[in-house]
Amino acid sequence: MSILECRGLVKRFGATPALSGVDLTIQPGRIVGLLGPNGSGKSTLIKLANGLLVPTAGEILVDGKAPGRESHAAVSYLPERNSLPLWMTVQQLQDFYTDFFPDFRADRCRDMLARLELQPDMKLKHLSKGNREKVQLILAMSRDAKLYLLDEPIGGVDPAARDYILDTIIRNYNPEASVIISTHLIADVENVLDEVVFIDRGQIFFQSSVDQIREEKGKSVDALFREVYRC
Amino acid sequence: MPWDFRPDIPIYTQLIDQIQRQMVTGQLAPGDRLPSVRDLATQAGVNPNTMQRALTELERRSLVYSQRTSGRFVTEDGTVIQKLKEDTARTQVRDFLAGMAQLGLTLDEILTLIQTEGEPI
Amino acid sequence: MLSKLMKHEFRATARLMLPLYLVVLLLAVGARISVTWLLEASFGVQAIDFLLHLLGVLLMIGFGAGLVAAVVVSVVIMILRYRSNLLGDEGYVMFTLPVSTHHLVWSKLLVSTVWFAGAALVDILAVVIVVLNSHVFQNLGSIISDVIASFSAYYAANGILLVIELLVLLVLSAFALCLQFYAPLSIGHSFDKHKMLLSVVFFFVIQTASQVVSSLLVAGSLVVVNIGDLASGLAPAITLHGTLWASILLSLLLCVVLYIINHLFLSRKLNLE
Repeated sequence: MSILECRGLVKRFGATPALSGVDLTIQPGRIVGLLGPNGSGKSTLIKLANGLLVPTAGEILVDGKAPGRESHAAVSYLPERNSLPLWMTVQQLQDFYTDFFPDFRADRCRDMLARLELQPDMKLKHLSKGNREKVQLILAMSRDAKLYLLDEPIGGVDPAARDYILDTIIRNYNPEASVIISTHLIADVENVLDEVVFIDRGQIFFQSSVDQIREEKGKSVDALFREVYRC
Repeated sequence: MPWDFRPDIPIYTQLIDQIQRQMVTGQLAPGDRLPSVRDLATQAGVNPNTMQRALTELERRSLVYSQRTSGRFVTEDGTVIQKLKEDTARTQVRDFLAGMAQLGLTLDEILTLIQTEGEPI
Repeated sequence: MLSKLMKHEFRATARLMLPLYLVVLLLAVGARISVTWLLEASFGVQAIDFLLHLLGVLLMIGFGAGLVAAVVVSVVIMILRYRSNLLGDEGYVMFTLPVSTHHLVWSKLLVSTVWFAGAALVDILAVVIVVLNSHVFQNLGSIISDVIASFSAYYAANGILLVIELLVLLVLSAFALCLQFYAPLSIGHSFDKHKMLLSVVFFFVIQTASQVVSSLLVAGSLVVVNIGDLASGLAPAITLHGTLWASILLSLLLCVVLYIINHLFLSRKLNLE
């Protein structure tokens, strides 16, 4: 069964269309890049999958269910910006995740935090921006979820942090799960992807495996992306 | 060793090439145990599924074998590695000759060049 | 899951509410010192006396401000907490927890109500600290039973029932107070722009609407009950209980309507930035 399924998915904000008729199927066990320029509808799609927005028309199913309580238990979501309460300590955040997500692996989380030398009593607001992002990523990847929805995880980070982030994703995701990474920085993530979905102006016009693109077109996904979006 | 990927070839074929190179150069000796798929994937900065695909292909070529409990190992069969070495050498010579042909050199000129350049070795 | 949400809601709010309570109690102690000593101080040196009297007056003003602040700050925290935790960036975390939207709202309602009750008790305690002397203290028990007895006598009413009715009304009023802010915030934040401005506008729209509706209901019920009967001497007890029950029903109606509106906007029109 597919882990994410969209059928004729439409989302409009007032008169402005954000998604116009998206059909998409994501199978389990894949790392998928949701690629498109800013404002192409990537975030809207991810928010719909998280139940943070309600479709105007069409259907979106996560693990066979409409987004809601049950699907939330199966999805680990990394929002685009920090959305953890800043007053909380690293330890309190772990307690929070432990309380609400039965699939949260506290020992794995502790190990990763310890490797970054983040003490349990440190408050989020006293951490650097980079470390805050890492804490949020670590919490998200410490869950054994069925679907990871990572919204722009490498936006605006330096190359070392980027490597750390991709490394953490590869190391932790559970092999039966799927990971969807939305980004416009394709060259940076290309090597870790199985599959890419190109989205533009609210429509999906291309879905393919990365190796297939290279085999058939003899060029990288990044090069193809630049070509496609030039016009 | 650093892993480097060209943009125009599928990543899994490049992974196969690079692991084979490690075997031919002796960085991976016969009977050596390979790291887990996930660790190899993390080292190379690639998707575990892609690494899995490359290792499966290496297994098909009898260059590595897996033991259910203890992991994956480089083949202990010296002849397979010897053959791989020869194949690799042949491929490199072909690539080299193709490059020379592009420069418009004849075989004699190439041989002379090899002799003068090869002397220090 | 409601209990876990409440646990974390208490954790988030206690770090603000408990220090607030402590400050109010400290101000009460200051006011007590002021009443028993500073304001009466007389060393015969005019400058010192003046300074001590001034300090006493300031402490009394601080105490009065503290009493008001306990209530006002509780309400302000209730509002800000709802906005930042559910409708701000933290909403991305809260609305993707495997919990229902009902539980998210109820955890906020219940915890806010507990803090309101806490603020009221702290205010009472603060006043007691200031005015209590040994005489009042010794007779505290009999004073309370006197009060209940005189109530029961005058209204020929059941004192215990009266207390229960009052408590129900207070809790419902607390819920209604919260929902009067939650609903307009949820509506205002469902828009793409001017979220806060629209929230304020909808606050006044809801206030006006609820006042119009409740006055109509009160007027209507008075007609039904027939003012003539009331004036010609229903027992005060019936009037009292009747008024309380009417208020309870009115608050309940307000709560239900606001809750449904709020829930619809959170579940169908959520639009986080």
